Amino acid sequence: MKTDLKTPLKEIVLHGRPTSPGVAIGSAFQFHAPKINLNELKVKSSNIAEELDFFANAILKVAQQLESSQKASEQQYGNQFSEIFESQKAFLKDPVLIKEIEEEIRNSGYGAAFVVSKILADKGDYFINLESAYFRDRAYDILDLKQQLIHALLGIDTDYRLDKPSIVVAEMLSPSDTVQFNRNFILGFLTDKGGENSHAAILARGLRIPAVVYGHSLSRLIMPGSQLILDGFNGGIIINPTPKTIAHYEEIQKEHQRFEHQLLKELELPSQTKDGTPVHLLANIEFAHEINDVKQNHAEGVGLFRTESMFIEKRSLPSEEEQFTVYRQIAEQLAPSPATIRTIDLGGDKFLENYSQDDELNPFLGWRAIRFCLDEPEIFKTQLRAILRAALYGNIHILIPMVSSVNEIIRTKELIAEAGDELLRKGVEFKADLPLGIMIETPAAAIMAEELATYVDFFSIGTNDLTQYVLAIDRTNDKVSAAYTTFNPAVLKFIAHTIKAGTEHKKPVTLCGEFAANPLAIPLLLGMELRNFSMNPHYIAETKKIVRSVDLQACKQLYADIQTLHTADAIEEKCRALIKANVQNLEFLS
Amino acid sequence: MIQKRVTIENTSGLHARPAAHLVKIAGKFDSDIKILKDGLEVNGKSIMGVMMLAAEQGSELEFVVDGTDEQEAMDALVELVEKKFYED
Repeated sequence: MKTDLKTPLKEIVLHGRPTSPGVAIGSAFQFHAPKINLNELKVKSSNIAEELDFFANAILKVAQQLESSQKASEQQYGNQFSEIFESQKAFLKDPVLIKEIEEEIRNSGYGAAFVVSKILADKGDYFINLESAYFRDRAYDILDLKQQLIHALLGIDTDYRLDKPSIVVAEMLSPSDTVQFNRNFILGFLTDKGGENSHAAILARGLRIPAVVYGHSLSRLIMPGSQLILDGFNGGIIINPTPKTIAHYEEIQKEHQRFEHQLLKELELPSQTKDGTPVHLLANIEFAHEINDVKQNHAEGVGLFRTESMFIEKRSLPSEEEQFTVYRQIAEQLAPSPATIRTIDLGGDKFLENYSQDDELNPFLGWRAIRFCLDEPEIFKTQLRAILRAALYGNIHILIPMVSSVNEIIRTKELIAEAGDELLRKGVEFKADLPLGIMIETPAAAIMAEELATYVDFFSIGTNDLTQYVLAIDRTNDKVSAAYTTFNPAVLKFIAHTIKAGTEHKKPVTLCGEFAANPLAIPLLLGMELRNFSMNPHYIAETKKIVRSVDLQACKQLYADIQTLHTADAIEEKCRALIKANVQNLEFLS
Repeated sequence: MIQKRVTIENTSGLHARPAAHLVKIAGKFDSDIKILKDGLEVNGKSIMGVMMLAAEQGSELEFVVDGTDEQEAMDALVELVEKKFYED
């Protein structure tokens, strides 16, 4: 289709919800996911010679695709992205790699698509754990190459491949969708659905690229290749921007980059308020390779290591040995800083295959987290044994999710003791008496904080779930999610009560929900005497900036002042006023 | 079999292009070529392997070459590293 250059397309301005900060300017790339179930490919092939032929042809086909993608990319962007294409082309020509795949096809008898997927996924896993950012990024090139080869082998039309920097436009994005494209080319995400905690939003914040959710059907209305601007600060979506609009946003983009650069420089400074009160900034992580982000952002340790993704990704139960390897790696690399491992929080929205309960009416009030673990003691003890063994290599703390009664703590302690006895009998070395903490995320736990403090060594407040349970609002239900806010005074009372109970019993309290990195909330939480904040490592820089900009006395005054305010809006306004008066460039803080 | 330790001195280390250059030279010889770094051993004729070393500027590597043309192969590899992959 030819575009008439003389009559520019009309600029359209829409407003969505920002879910990751930043400004993206680029062309739209529409994504509709083809579904491939790799488990279905795991079938023995009757004709190995034919599979080897398929593989050889797929290599040729993908090599041609890469060649044309690279040409197109170079015409537009010079050699800015040639590193990506050069590595991919080189991998395709690697005689040792090709031989490895061919031999596996011969020996295993599985089809080429399955073997390619398995071997390249393993290579990708290796690269993603490397410390150097350059080599780590190559993992995405390998995974992208894997996807291209599989598509070539299965005869799937691959014209949706991301082969130049683009804003990805989709109805919704799942983790399996986002692995389909090369992350090195993603400029931003525009989706119809998804919230701040959606996979795309979290991924975008991790990659420091903007994301906006429109909320209604838009993805299919945007022409592929249209020029787009995403404003990840205000939620602006601009289709066919005029040169004037583009210039305006390029200016914001530049300022934002300067601001980010400044933030990163300030990372070296101590984490303390203006008056010198130390504040501990810790990281929430999900994968071992994120330890690099923890270190780069000068986190004082890991306040929350979520273990369930290890279970979900594998779609099966990881063995004690597999878990031990991961926990040990984290403990070792962080030592002597704390590594807080939260035992599996499965259920609710994250089900383990074969253990899912389709018939639960209220999964968030159902069989999840510690309830699931106590009912499946073998699964739980396998994890506990791996943790106890890994504790020899660093400073591991155990954290139990979703506690709502003292019984659950008592039973957990029994199982920890049993896990230790089992290791002892087998003659396997481990460390006993690890600090044990609980998540305070049910109203029951928060209200009982004084009593619970006598049973455990620390508290970790999970504000995402606590807000949902205190307000009885499902944050994923669009009809009611507007009222889901942690600034609701009811939620704040539970938080303040927990912090006070922990502090009085000399049990450290950490807050590890999204609220810990909310710029408006940080001074208020400091005023409530919270001193440990745990968050996505990418938020530490801006949180440190806020902490360093405020005075503790002013924070205490803020907390006193909100006592007379009875609505979330009024409280949020008061918090905003304090931040505005103290922190510059507030518009760039998410 | 001959062995030699070298230090990677070019700015970009064994990033894609220099790694491809190294693999191309290694592929010209019949000898087996192994490269070692921090306990990891890879095949010097495999770009995937060479990049798995994640060698940055200043990394120390050990070449282990074994075969009929081992001396020529070692000389060519060492020269490439010493000439900083002709990139700087």
